Amino acid sequence: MADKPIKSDPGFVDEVKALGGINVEACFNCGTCTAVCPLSSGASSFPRKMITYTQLGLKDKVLESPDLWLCNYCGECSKSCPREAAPAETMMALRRYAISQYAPPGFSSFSRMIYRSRAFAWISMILISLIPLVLMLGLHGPINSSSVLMFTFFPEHYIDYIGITLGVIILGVMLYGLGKMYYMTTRGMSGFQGEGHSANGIKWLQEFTKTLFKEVFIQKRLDQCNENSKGWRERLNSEWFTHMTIFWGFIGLLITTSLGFLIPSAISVPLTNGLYIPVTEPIRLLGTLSGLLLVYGATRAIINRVNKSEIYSSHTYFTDWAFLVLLLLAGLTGYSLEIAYYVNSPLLTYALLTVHLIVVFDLFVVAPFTKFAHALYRPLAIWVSRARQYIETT
Amino acid sequence: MKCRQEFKLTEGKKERIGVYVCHCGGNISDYVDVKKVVEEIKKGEPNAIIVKDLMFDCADASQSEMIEDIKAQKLDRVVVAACSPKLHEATFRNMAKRADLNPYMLYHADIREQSSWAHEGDMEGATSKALAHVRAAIAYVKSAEPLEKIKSETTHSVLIIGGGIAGLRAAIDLSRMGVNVMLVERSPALGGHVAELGEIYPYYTSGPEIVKGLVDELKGRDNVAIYTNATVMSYSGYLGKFEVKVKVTHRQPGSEYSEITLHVGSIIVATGFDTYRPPKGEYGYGTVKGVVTLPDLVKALGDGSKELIYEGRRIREMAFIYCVGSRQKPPEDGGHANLYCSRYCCNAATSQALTIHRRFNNVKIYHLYRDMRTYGRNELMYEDAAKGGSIFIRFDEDHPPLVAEDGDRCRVTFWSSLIENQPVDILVDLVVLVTGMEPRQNEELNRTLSLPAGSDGFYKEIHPKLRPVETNITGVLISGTAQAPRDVRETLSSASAAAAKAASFVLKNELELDPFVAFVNPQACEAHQECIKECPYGAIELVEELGKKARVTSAKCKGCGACVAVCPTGAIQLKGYTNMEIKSMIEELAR
Repeated sequence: MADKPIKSDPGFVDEVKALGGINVEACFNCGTCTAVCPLSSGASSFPRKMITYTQLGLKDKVLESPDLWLCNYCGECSKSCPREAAPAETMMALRRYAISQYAPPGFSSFSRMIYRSRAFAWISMILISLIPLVLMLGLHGPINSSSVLMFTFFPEHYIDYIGITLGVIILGVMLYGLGKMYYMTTRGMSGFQGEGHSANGIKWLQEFTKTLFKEVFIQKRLDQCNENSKGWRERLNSEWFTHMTIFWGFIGLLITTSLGFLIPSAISVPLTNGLYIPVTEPIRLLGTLSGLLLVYGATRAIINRVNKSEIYSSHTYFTDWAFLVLLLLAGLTGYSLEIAYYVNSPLLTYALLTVHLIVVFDLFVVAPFTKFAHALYRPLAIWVSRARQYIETT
Repeated sequence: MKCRQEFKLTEGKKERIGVYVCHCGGNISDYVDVKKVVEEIKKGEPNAIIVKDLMFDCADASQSEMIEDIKAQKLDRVVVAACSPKLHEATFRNMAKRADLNPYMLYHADIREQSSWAHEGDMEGATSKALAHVRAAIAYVKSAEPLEKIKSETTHSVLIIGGGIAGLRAAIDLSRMGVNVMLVERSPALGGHVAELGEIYPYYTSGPEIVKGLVDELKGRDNVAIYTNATVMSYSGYLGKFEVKVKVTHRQPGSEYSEITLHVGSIIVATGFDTYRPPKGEYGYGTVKGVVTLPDLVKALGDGSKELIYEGRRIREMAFIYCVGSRQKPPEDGGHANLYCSRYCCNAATSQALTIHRRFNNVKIYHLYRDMRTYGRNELMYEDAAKGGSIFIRFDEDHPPLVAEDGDRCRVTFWSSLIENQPVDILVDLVVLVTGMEPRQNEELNRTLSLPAGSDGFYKEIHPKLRPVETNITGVLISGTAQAPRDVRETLSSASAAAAKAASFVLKNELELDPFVAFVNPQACEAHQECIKECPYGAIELVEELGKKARVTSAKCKGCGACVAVCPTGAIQLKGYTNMEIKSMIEELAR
């Protein structure tokens, strides 16, 4: 009782409502949501606690809690809510809020505006797309219309330079966000910051590895969300499978791209002249398969959202559409590019290359400010949560 | 009034008694040897002309058999040994009536609840106890006297005390039933608390509109007399025949007040409630600017302005604190106010919140409650308020919120179990203390009426379920919030209930009351007046004309026996329970 009171921010509820917490005020704190949640546990109990924080305007409490990211948005809570307060939407809105708040100053308000204003989001996307377009229009080489010479049209090292510059900025922004999240979620916890940190080093590493394998590679918690679907047939139709295909598709493409840049010599055919690389070439094969997974996953996710078949696909924000559509477009333009190249249609190839690069550029630029950011925030939160539990039990 | 007070002894006369012992299927005979009881009575009681055991005494055939016996054998007393008299005494008294036997010459002895059921498995014990009961019953009927029901003429009019919505509703109902109504209101205007209220959920009718609707209905009814500025001075009489003195204050100069006497058959008390006033300092009341009670808020909302402004302060955020003065701990645990839940306050506060949400944009309301008791249809209002922008936070009784000044706003600190018991500060412009109802401070009237009150201080009914509007003064009824905290709907229903009950009394020309009342043997009375002091109903008076003797007004007497116990000379006794009757029963049981 001697604790210093926390200040309430009366405007926070409205902020969360604007970010998608459509009916958070209707909650009367019965706790049914927390009881039915397949992922909530004694140590990290949600969504009721998060909703209470929201109603009372305790925004720091929200940002200090890794629990926000332990939710995988299955929608069971919203289904069972007696007041139709849509707790799953509030959790989603709070994650949007956290993404905008963890971002560096300036980026933070940009992120918040993208979520809150559809017009702002559209204009931003168009302006962002103009950057690679202008660069390509300004920097492209001779257009050979008799045969496809892709890297004569746009030299590969330009792509690399632009990509590396963008990557460094994005990585910096993401690292800032991760750092802020780590700082806020572990503030005041002994063993995380300051003394005692190194003593737990090995344990930390163990927990980190566990998190990486269980929650990133096989995404066990998301699988747990679908409690009733344990057979393979159900698994293939589950949200978990969709998510896994998108995740692994994306990772595969990321690896392919990086390898292509790092070890060009490993690829038998010189790339600089943009000649055809055989499909059987391992790195290329990996890229093709990953692209298939990505296109499959993104398509299914989009279909789910169009049909609104589940709670988790019923409320779609502009940013959700943008992310999924960009993913799908990245895959589709990639394959179209290959086909155009294969059928030797030079002008189409150059056009598709331009579109493909714009899409990929957009995808990376908005990554730290939109749903994409969960790919890094969620594993960190899970790891912090595990570590917190470990500290509390020892 | 026909009331026979003479007391004759019947010694020397040979009684002719009928005794009917019941098997009650097996309920009695499984553990009471009914045949043995019959044999023993036959052996030991020569005046028992008929002694029988029957499978079911209460069966039609059995009753016919008893009637035949009474008539054929000229029986003048009957003992029925069966179930509890609560169940079938009236049945057998009616049977006696049909056989032209005075119904009070019958005694219903309980050998089921008292013997067979109480002593399962002990046949011998149960049988001997049953036998003792039957013998005591025979002793009673031997000394019993025929009694008559007390009959009382009635005045076809009803006095209603209190001109709030309960009084008005009761007045309308009675007037429509053809009963003359006299309504006495202390204040200059009708409508009471409701006249001061704003919109009332559901339908958002305002308090004054409700009052106007009721008053309009009363207007032009020629069997209704309304006295405002009037107070009840004294009353006397009994059901059917009350005499009430009323003081009416005049506003015209010259005559300050006049006294009028009203004659009524029944009285409805609808005197309403008082609002709980928090002592200075409770949740900052009277010490922190911007802390008000719910009724204060209601008044402030009444001006119809576009913005919510209280004492010059524009209200953007506000907090309601619930259960102020209600559901408190008992005084021995440090409580200072009422123990009970006032029921209406959760609903009243939520209703005001809804009104605020509807009338003003962007007012945030925090509701700090202990338990939301928006029962029944009000649950919808609770949900509407939450969806309209109200936030509900539960606090624990042991950690009530703190209210302090913070610049020109109020800082409310509270603890919620959902936030690891860490205190939270909210800054608000207005703190509304949700106060409940208290019994009306009305000592003069309470002394005049001497109505019983419950531990909460509200007037108490005889039985909350079986006799919900009657008090232990027959003919004096209670309704509305004089009886308990209620909302408008409940107040109006209870007023209609009281009106119906009052009509059932006064629309009869003659009332029949049980004859078990006290009576005085004038020869023995020495005017000690102990009985007068003891009587809770004011039924006994000293009459000079009789030579300073006590006299009982039978219609007022409840037969409680308090006077009998204190009389030093044994001059006052109860009919049906005379000292002789009781003594003879005890002697028989002790034999």
